[in-house]
Amino acid sequence: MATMDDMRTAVAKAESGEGDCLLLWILVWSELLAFGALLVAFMVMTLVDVGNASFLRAHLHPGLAALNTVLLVLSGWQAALAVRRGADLSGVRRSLVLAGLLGLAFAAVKLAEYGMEVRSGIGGVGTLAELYFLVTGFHLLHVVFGAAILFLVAWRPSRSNVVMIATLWHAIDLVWLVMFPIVYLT
Amino acid sequence: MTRQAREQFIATLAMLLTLAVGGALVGGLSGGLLVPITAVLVMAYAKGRFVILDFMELRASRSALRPALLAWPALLLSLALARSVLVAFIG
Repeated sequence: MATMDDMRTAVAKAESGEGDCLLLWILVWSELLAFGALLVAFMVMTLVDVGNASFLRAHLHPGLAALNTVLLVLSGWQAALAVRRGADLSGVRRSLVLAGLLGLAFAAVKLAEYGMEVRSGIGGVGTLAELYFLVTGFHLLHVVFGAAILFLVAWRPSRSNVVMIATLWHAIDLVWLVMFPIVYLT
Repeated sequence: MTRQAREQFIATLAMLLTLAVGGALVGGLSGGLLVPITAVLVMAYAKGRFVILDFMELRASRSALRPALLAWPALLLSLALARSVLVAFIG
């Protein structure tokens, strides 16, 4: 049975955002584990099907992916800046909107890249192409959804929401930084 | 944010951008050789480390979260290196 002290502790934790923080990190880790499993599957498939892996690599566009890395790094920087701006609400809003716009620019470049890759016929490499579109498409969905949340938080910025979306955005950024060399460069 | 913190924050961004462009250039010119591939993977780890420590603000943290987060890119990039070694020597 909960005592008054337990209740006071729970209220203090809720007010300090400690409870939210635990949920946030559970969410971050679920994302990292899901992407980790997908990336391991992609690496195994490139070992199993070396011929198709070479064909896929030859038809990817690492230049566009590098541009996307720059866009996502700048976006993550703006999100981190929003957290550091503290009580400067107009500055927080500006940083979050910029972070979201850079996220949408990432999505636009990725969609253009998909268009070129589909026209070049990489769909013909079977399971490996499916995995490529699954891994990068799942990440792209996270970027688009994250950008929408960034705009939403920019509209109503509270300290806990800014920290939460910035941390999630950094996790999405981190996934791309690891995915980029694994899928495009090695 | 203090002036020193702001300068350090901008330096982190400059490092990240340099590593992003440098990694792409080295990767594009690697020609499947192991040494440049290893360099690309080390640069990718460095980028991830900057994001975790500076953007997520875990540099001063003593919690288990910090080493756990740093282990995630380290593990996946090590697997990528192992795959490249296997392809170079076996396949």
